[in-house]
Amino acid sequence: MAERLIDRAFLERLERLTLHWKNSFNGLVGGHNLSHFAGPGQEFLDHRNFHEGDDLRAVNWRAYMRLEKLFLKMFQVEPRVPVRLLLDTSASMIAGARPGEPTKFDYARKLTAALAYVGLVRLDNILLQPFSQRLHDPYLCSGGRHRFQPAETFLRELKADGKTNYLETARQYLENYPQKGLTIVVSDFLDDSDCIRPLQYISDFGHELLLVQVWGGEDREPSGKGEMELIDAETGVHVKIALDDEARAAYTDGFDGYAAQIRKLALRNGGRYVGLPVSMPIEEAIFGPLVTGGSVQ
Amino acid sequence: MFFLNLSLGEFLGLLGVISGLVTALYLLDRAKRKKVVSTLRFWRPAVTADERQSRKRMREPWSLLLQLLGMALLLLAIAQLQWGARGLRGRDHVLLLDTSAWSAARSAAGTILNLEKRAAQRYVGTIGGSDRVLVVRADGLAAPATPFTSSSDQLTKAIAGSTSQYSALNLEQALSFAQQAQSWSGGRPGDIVYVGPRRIPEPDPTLPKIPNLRLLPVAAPRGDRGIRRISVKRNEDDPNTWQATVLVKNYSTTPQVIHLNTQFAGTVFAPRVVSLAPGEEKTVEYAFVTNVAGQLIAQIEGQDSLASDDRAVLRLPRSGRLTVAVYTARPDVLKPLLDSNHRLNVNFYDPGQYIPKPAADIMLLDQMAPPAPPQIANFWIDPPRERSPLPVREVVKDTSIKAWHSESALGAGLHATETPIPEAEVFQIFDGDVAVATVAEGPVVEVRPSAQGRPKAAVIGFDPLHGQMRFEVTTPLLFANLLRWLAPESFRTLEISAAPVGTATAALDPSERPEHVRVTDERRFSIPFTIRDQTVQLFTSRPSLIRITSDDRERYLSLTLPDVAEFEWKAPPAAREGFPALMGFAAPAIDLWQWLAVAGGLVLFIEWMIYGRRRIVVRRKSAASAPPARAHERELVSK
Repeated sequence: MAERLIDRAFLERLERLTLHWKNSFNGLVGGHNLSHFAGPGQEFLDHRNFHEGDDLRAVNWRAYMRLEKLFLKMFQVEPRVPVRLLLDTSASMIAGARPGEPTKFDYARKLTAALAYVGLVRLDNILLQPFSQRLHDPYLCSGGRHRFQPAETFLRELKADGKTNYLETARQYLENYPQKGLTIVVSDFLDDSDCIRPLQYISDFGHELLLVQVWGGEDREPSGKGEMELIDAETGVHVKIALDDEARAAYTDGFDGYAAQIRKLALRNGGRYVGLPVSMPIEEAIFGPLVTGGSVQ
Repeated sequence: MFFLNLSLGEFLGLLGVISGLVTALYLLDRAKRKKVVSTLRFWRPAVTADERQSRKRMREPWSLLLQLLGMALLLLAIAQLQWGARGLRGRDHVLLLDTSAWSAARSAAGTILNLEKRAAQRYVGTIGGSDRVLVVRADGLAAPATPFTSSSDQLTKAIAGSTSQYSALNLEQALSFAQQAQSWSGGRPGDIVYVGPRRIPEPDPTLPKIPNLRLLPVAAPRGDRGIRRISVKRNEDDPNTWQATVLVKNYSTTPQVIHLNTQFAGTVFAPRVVSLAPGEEKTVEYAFVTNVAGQLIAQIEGQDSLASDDRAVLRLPRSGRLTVAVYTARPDVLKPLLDSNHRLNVNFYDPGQYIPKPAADIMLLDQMAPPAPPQIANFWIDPPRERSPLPVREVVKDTSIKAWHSESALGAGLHATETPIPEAEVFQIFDGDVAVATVAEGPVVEVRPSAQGRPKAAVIGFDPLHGQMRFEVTTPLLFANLLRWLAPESFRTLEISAAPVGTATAALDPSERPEHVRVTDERRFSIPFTIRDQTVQLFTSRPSLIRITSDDRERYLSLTLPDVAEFEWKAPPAAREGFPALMGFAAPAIDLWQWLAVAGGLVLFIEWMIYGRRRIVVRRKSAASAPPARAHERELVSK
């Protein structure tokens, strides 16, 4: 039997949590986010004048008896907001870990599984969407915690391979999923081309972004010293350098600057950003940065 | 200029290895290591900066050169480079001072050893001031008394402190040791000087070829005769009868008549007169009866040149009879059986006279149960079932012995089976107990070793003196085996001999098992020994009383007689004889190793100051100027 991504004790702790998003989506809202839009629902929102064709069941008959005018009761809509989890499965996700650390890919899979479970428990519609150069086959699950097992199996069977192409991924994503919703991207965002612009496109189309950046110890603070030959995990390109403390510091500066750009993109578009080193335990990541950042509550 | 510690080849070889190692480490440190990274996007700005650094590193071969230079200087220091000609350097001599048994011989001018000391002292006075001397005391072993030293005080003290030993000169070992010492000293070899009477135990020893051998012979007197060995053995049939053998030898070149006087415990035996041709040895035998302990002294009348081999003393123990206290109601039945064993001294008592600790070695309890447990080794015959020393499992009737456990000494010689036994007690057996004989239901003869203050016990669960068993030869054999197991010391055959110090041997009987042989000295310390062809071989360099014990035998080797070497060593013709001419003082070579060591350390320090320290400074600066990476990471995570 394959090893589980998340153990039972952790799942029990996750049951108290809920995925949260900031935006209201026209006609769509998850069960735990109030909508400003009227529609079929349980909670009363307002009255309006009756027009022909309106549902007679929503007429306020008490008001009619008193005022002899037909008023229609309006309710808050409670449809399901799609929660889409985009999981980076490019080859860079298995590079950059220090000895003793999990790979970014393993870490991201566990994190994705945890977030999917949180959503399933609250009856959200969860779409697991792996991607690298393009979107791969997705997995849609909804309807409660008992649907988690197949979702976990799906995540467990994923393999990290190929290059990252955010532009193509964003194009396909917007084409396949026009319905707005919460888009959670779990990735290292280490694409040689730009990932800022494609993410901006997704946001521009009304999707709320929750960008979860994971990095290994070597990704941010590379070790080693002296003459080195660096090989890009995705492209196979070789670069020869002489690494010393100055170069390392410059590298870390570059990385931090890039992470700041991604964070800025998320915040600017009303989304959220969470950066997670793989050295941080998953449980701590969920109940730490993700909870305090308001992504789950 | 020359190396003191290493040859040129050794120096170059070591330098090559160290240089190769340092260069390999240098190249390894600067070798490109491959590393797979997630992205190269953040490296590009860093690469530009590092290319500059990389070019700078290319100039660092000076670091390698300085390291190699430092290592070479340190290696030169280890090789002990000396300035000057090797020939001007002082030489290392080895002075072999013969302290063998012959050095105790006395001549008109004094003892041989004193003559040797005077010669050695004179030799030390002739050598140059920069020469060094190692004094070695040579007898059965070659023991250095000093290191190589030019200190005349130290040499004089070592020579004066030498004393005569009892072993013969092992010349081969002494000369080999001297050669090795000279090769290890690292100095220029000087003389190997032998000072002594040139007496060796073998006629043609295999000696190493020594071109630098010098002899300072000391004339030894020739008129010696002495005792080579004295041994005493107890008679197998009568423990009070002893047979003594004295071996005497004439070492001189003229016939000798020896008057040998022997006495034991103050009783003087009739003196023997022995005529000996030159080099002849004869054995003189004595037989005497005694049951008391005492000293057997053999002495040659008159004086000769070597007094230490004119007298030999052996200490004999008291009678070896085993005392057995027998508590029985039927002494007439047991008496014939026990009296037939001459090693036993049997006393019969009525069961009512029982005491737990009688004046005996073993207690025999015949068909009785004592009121208090015995406190000495005890032997039970057919004990009452309720008071048996070993728990009785059952009593069987009309049975017979099915097996004797002859794998141990307890069952030796016991083979009779199917002999009917009217009634026998079958014992339970516990850890440590040994079954000697078993019937179909279990053991009927059993022994229990001593433990926790409890003495040894042997129990026969039937009456061997009743029925058919009393006519079997098995019965006395069983008694003998059990008594031997209860008191093995008393059954040991005793041999005592006095022999020369040095290598000693003792032949074992075929029945003695080598794994049971123990060898100790008079302080009961174990002595190393080997057994080859059923012969124990051991070596002592000083007079010792050696005790060799095995299963049923005990030997005493009194290695107190001197090992008198019989042959004269004929030195090789190339050996120089006599004292050398007084050697002049030459300017010694200058030792440079201290300066080389300092220079090597200085070069390595400079290399570290220039390269190693700078790298550390750069690292600290970059660490100080770079923003704290961990703080940044926390910032990224928290937002």
